[in-house]
Amino acid sequence: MAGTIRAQYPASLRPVRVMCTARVSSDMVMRAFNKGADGVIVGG
Amino acid sequence: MLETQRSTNIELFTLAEVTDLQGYIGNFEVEILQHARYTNQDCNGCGACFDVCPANAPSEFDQGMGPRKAIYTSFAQAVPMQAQIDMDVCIKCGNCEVVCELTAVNFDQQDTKFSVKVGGIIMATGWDEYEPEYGYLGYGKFENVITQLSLERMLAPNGPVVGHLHRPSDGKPPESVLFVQCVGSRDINRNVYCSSGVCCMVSIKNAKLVKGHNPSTEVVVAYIDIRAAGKGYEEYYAASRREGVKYIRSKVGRVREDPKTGNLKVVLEDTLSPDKTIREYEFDMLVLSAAMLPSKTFGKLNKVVNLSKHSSGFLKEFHQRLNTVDTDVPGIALAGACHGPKAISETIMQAKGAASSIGKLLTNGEYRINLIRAISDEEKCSRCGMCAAACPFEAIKITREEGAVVDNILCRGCGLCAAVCPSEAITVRYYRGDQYENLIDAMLEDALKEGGHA
Amino acid sequence: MEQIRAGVARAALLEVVPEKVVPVSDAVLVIGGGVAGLQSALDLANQGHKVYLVEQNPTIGGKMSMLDRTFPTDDCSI
Repeated sequence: MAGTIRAQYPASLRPVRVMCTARVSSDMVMRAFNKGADGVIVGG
Repeated sequence: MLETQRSTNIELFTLAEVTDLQGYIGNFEVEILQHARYTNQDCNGCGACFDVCPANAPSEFDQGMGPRKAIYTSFAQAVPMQAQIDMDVCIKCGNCEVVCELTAVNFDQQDTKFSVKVGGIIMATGWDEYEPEYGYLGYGKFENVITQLSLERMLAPNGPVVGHLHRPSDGKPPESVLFVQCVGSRDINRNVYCSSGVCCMVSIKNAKLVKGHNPSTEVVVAYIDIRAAGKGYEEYYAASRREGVKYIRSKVGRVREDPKTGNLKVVLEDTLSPDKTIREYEFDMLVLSAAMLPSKTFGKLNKVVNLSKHSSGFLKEFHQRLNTVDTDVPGIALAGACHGPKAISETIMQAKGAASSIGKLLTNGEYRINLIRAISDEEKCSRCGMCAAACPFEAIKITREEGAVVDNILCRGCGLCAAVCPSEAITVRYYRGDQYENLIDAMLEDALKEGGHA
Repeated sequence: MEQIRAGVARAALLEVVPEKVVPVSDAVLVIGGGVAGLQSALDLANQGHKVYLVEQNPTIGGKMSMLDRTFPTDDCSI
């Protein structure tokens, strides 16, 4: 979406593509935090 | 219409409805309910029975402005040319049966149900005119306030007044007519959407026709914006102005009736005049350009076909810009006003698009599905059923032997089941859990090195 | 950089996605016998496909049959 509307986002953002936001489980979010991410945005 | 009937490849079912839909792309099983017509195929619509039928009802085709009999054809060019009996009105006197030389009348006919197998489906359920609530702009309360569709019937040579415009209250040809735009559309209290300029164009057309019938008639259109966006439309609009149709940019305020004459007193604010004059005008007749709504019977049908709808109530397309023909259910395509208000030219375009989309599928003779679908590991699966409960497509069944079993046709690969599974047993092919883990880990490798700063 | 590394890490676990081929019945159901339904039914029939056209009213033609003249050509609609 950010791409289609040409929104600017910081270079430190790391996108992970999912088929549907429903796929995002708490395990995935926690894993990202564990590995050092400062925050997680779930967007559709 | 006749071409449709003559085509040997088309099987036509009138007075019929779809009552059940099973299956999936390429293999739909459709149940059709055929209502009884009470005449058989021998009927040639000669009309001898109409003359002897004593029971009358208002004609749906003429917007209730003309009568029809209990045994009738909708209009003179109806296809199929076969009479039907309206059993709500029929008094079962049997006159029609006696007079029919072809012994086509059959009072014992029953509704029948049957199934057909099809590869694809085209939705073409159309629209209905918005019916203003009683009293809104005088509708229903004052006889000389009518809607656009009623005016169409009045102007038609095969209509209730054989094309000679008369106003309903006293049958006098109107000397002044006001068209009111955006009735029930572009209105936050009714429907927010614009009926795509169709009512603008219809008003321009009918204003021209009324003017053409009698050039001395005063014809005024009260509009918010004239949306004449289409090939040749702007020229058409300009032509109507040249022919003397007046346009006042205004929203109609109050409508009152003069009880003696039946004339209507309408308050208009001319927003384009320098001093924004608010004035009361008098007209012989008011025509409400009512919004286009999804067909009245569509709600019932959609309990069977289950397609997603747009907030306006019309059917949702696959993509609003890139694919406005297919739906999000593979094998079902859209044609015409079931998808949104549109004019005949656009309807034809979309119908041809839908035919080509389904035609491509049928010509291929097979359909390939990429199995990016959920799969379950029966060893890990605890048969808890959380995935089955979470699945929005009802694609998962729990069995004692194999655990979660996924229907590859119903599953869309969204991964909701994978997210809720407590034992990591179910996952989606091509987007497996360990793939995501690898992805996240690799992505954040530097972040850890830098001490939590990504 | 991270993007590429991450992509490779995921790709290492990729598998061949199987395809399922389903047969297609050579027939179509058109729901509604107005201008949209008739046009698509005729197009498909003329391509040689079997069409089942279902209409709730006693006659086909839909709203279009109620109109005498249509914009922007002012010709008869039937």
